[in-house]
Amino acid sequence: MYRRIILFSFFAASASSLQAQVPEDALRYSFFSQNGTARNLAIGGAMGSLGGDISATFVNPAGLGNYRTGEFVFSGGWNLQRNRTDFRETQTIGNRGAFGMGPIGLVFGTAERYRPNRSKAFSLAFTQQANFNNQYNYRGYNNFSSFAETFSEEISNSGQSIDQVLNNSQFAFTSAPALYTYLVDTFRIDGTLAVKALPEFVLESGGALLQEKQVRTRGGLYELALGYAVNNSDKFQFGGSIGIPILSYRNVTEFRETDTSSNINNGFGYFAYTDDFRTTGAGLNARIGVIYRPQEHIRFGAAIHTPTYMFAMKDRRTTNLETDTEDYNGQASVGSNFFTNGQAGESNYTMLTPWRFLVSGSYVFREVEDVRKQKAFLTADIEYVHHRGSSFYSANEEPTTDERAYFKSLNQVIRNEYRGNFNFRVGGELKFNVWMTRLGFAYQTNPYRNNALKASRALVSGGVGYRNKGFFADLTYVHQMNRDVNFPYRLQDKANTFADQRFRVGQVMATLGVKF
Amino acid sequence: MKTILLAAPFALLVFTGCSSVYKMGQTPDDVYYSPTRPEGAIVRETREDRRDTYYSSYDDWMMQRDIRMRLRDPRWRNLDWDMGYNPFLFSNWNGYYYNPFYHPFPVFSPGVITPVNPKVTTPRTTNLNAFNPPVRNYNQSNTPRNIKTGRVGSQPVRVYNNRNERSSGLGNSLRRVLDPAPTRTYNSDGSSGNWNNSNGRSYNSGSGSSSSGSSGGGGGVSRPARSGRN
Repeated sequence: MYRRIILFSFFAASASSLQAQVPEDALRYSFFSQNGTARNLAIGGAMGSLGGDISATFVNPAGLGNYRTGEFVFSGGWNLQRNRTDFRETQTIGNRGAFGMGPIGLVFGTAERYRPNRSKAFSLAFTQQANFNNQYNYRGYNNFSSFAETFSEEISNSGQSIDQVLNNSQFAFTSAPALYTYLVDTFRIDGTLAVKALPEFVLESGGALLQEKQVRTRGGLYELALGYAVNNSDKFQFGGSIGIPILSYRNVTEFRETDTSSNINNGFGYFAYTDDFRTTGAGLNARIGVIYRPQEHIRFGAAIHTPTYMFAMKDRRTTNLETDTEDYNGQASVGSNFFTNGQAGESNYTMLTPWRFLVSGSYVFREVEDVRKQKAFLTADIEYVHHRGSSFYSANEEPTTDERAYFKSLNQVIRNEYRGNFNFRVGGELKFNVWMTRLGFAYQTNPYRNNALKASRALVSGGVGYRNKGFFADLTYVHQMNRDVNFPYRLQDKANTFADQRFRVGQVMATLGVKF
Repeated sequence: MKTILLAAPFALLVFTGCSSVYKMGQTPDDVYYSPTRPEGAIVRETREDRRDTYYSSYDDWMMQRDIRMRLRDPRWRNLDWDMGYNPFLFSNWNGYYYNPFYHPFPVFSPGVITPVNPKVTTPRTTNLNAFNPPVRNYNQSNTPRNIKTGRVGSQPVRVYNNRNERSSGLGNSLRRVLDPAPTRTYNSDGSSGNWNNSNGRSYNSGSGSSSSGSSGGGGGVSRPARSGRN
């Protein structure tokens, strides 16, 4: 009993000296398609200079300065995702449908009583910035490396003994289960005691492994924002907004590796590793913007989005490992809870998302009060996202030396791995009295610094709208063609392998609103 | 989250019921042009509304108000017609300002407030060394300076392995690049780990393998004895 108490005390003490987060986390919270009302999505998401839509709260708040009226808006939709993944020359296809939401909120604008060309407006809006609901899986044969090598590499790098690894909560989610189930063990090779994963022997004998990865993600990045804008003489509009992002993300990854040979005495049959972690958080950000109208029809806009300071990030994690090492140790299974007193691992940290800079232009045909004479508009945005600026920090008031070193290295890896990317958005609308039709296009360039890693997002959109009797309704279809890469694992002393992913997303978004 | 989603359509219905202003006539489109609210939108008559009826026009009202203000306070007498009253004209120094209409004493505007960080415990990590290029092509010779960029030399090239070797005997062609092939050594001396260290620690124990189960030396978890072959 005393032994267990001492053990748990050791866990509690050692947990505070651990570090967390991985570079991919940074891109998850900054590289996603822009969301908005159905009208905004239909024009490619361009809202940097157009204004007059509640989506401006999240893009360029100066666009709220258009309003001299009030409106209440509700947006919701459905995403159907079709995933195609190429992993080591094997293609896998999967589907996933999920509910999505757009901006919900109100805008209230008023003109000065005796100077109608001066006005001010505020908005209160809630939206889903990023939708993480997805599911994909891929599989392929690998005769070069094994996932289990990440465990042997970690043990080797640690310089710790087997007992120390088994009793260090730092390894409770990875190497400790691998050692406990004998997926990884020590072997004397040419007089040197080495730590090896059993699948390595399969590879060294010329065999191959079947690797399968299944990922289920849930949640989203939501934001509650308060925007305010002023319109000065219908020439300049200035606006700002304060946002409170709320993050909810869950990732359940199952990785399975199987010996493809029929030999049941080569020390490895299969292993299945399940990693279940969820991240919650909240933060604060701000946006400022300006729209200038040099003459009738023409609008120019610019906006700056500050990094979001996510000051309340929390991870919870559990893992499980099931192995079959055939004649070496047979079947065994153990979860991370076994090494952590039955508790899920928890970590608190802070994060900064990248700066965003936006310039935009619009041409609006017939900016007149009579809606029957309003004809059309064209608008385009160019946005720069400084992905290299994403960074993580310890939330500890007095971080340890190891913590500082890890987060410093992590942020350096982010700077090395990613680069700033450009997001282009263009769209237009034709208006026929109370009916409107729209088309749009958007493209996001590759945020990876290494040219071998291809990632992009292309969106083609179209929609219709109806506005009459104090009520408006918009319906939009967006077809996304996204590309990205996924590393099943990373090794420092071998060439890594990754999956090339192509996501086709059909998104339907509807917006209903009333004017008041 | 679901509560919000359920409440929003309900609120929309309520607003729809209250939206009597634009039920007749055109519905404004704020993207193109946003008109001022129609008179019907003003429900309550204000004191200013009643006062407006005493003046023949807006300009008449503005002029008479300006005259009254200049008579009452000399600070308004040198102001142009279009300028409004600016309380900051009274005083503004190093963040302090004094507005006699609202505050009888100087007020200080604080700077940015930094939230306090919560406590940390952390389990999710990765081997950051795996993100560094596993194989770099080094060029030992001098490389001419790039005229456009001014840079010398080339960026390290990262090698990935996304294709299985089909030739018999495999041999892992890329592994041969890493000659000698990596051997992950094991160290049982108990020295503390380092996030940025690399392979190659020597092992001092005389034992050949620990595969028969660990001793559980310091207490806590120990491996069960292995059941299979030796």
